[in-house]
Amino acid sequence: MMGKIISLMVQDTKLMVRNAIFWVITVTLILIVLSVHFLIPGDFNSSGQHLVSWNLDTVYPGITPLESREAVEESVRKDGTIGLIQEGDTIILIHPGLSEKTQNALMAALFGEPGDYNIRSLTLRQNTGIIPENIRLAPVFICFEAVVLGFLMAGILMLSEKEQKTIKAYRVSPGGTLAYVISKALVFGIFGTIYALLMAVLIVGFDFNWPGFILLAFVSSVLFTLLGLAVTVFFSDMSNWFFTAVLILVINMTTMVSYSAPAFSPFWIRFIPSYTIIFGFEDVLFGAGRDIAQALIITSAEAAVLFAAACALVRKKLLKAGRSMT
Amino acid sequence: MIDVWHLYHDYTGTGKFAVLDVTFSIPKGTIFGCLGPSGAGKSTIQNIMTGLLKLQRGEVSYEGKSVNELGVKFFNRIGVSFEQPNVYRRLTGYENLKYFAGLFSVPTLDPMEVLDWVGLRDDAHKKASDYSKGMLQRLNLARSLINRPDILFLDEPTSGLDPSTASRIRNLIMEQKEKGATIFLTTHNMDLADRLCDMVAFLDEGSIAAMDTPGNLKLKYGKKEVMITYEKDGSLVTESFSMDDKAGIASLIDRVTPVKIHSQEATLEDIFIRVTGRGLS
Repeated sequence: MMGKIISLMVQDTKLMVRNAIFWVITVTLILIVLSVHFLIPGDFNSSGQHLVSWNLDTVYPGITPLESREAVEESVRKDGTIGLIQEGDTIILIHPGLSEKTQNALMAALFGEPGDYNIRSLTLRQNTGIIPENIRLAPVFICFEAVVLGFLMAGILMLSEKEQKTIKAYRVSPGGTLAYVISKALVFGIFGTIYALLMAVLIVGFDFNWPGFILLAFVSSVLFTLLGLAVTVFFSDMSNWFFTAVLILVINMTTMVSYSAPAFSPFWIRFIPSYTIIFGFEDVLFGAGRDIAQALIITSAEAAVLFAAACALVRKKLLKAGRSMT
Repeated sequence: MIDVWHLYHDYTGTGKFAVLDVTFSIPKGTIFGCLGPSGAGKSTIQNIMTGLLKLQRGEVSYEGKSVNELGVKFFNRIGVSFEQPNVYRRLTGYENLKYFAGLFSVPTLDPMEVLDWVGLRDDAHKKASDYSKGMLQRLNLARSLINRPDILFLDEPTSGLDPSTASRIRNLIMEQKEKGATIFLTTHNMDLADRLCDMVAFLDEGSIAAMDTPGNLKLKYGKKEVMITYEKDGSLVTESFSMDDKAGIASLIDRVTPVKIHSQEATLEDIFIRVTGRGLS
């Protein structure tokens, strides 16, 4: 079995690097890194984040009062909101890592010119540095550039195997379903991880939770590869597949809204795989305080379900269609 | 021994059979030719025999074991060369064979050796997308041989080849037979079948119209005549004799100097047309 898988992995790797779309994705990666550093400003957004407070002597529209300081801290830690707490004439701004400029703008908008209040800033993150907004986008870019590589490439390779009818030759070989699915999942899992690491290092630097990041990037890339295999078996040509592929990616991209405005996290959006992945990357890259194990467990469980689905569908629709042999 | 017994196949489920009550046996180490025009059901039979299509009715067995009971290990024993070249165009000829060989759990051949057999050694490291149709056809055939199969399914193996390369491939197929391989050859090339096959079946609209050795078919359907051409007064004259008329033939040869003597043996194509009432195209 290992021999078959390795042989298929080498074959798939060569097919991938000789495919133009792979190089389009690679160039896109470079463009994203350049954009993050040179086009996107470090603080472009302070709006859209939900504000919570405790003990403010004035009620402000748009700020949700909570029952205790602990509740405010919990909300900031868990939902990424911005908290305001008044202790005498001191306002404590509790946040998940806003830039200084954003903090100043926010306080000026709420309380007028500096001097009226003493202002203290408290960052509720494991890493205490301020995260510029452009760098904070790294989890989104990693998810939708590096991790979805497997989804796109697995689909494209399978369609090319259908169009060139090489899959027919595979069907009369002892290759089998498991070797077919596992080899693709491993190849794109590894490449997705390498791309994710490249993006992380080039955008964020070297100071992050490497083991957690590698594990999450690998499991996420495998998950999207399996999703690509499971979906593509239903299509015979690129034009029909493309619409569905874009739709699936767009659905996954809706979770970006939650990432930009953490207060927006309805129940249904948490079931979209990219939700856990993006926030998981935020944790491992910026130490947002949440437990990475939870993201890994959820993503691995989703990958396991998709593995079973991909194997069943590849076997039924691709390799054993019309066949009665065992 | 491969046995195909009362085989039927209906793609549409409407009773319009693509294969209709086909029965034949292929002894080990022989070449069986399945001949007929496009749409006659040749590929359907091959696909059922290789497990690509479901066995709906009838039976296909290998050494007495039903194709339905054969597991994935069966594919270690067979080689299939499809009519339409189906190789990875972005890989070289060598890479196509190398990675395909990696799928088998039996010893495989050196890809370069097999490429040499089909005359592709010099083009081994060219991408398959740069191959001509004939080269792709040969690469397909090479792939089917990589696992030293003892059962070979060859669908139009000389299609698109020039006469010299076709002759090389014919010899290669004969070598496989001499090594003990059992070969199921699907073609509408009657000359190829005549040269290679121990037994041929004419397939017409899903049914076998005639089946025998090429020699027996020719005897059965050919004219038992001899045509002798000789020169007389500066022009060529041809006379026909029944093969039984030994005295007449001897008398003419005594009197004249023959230029040509031909038996009126029918070709397989003539016989196919006679049996089915239609041509091969």
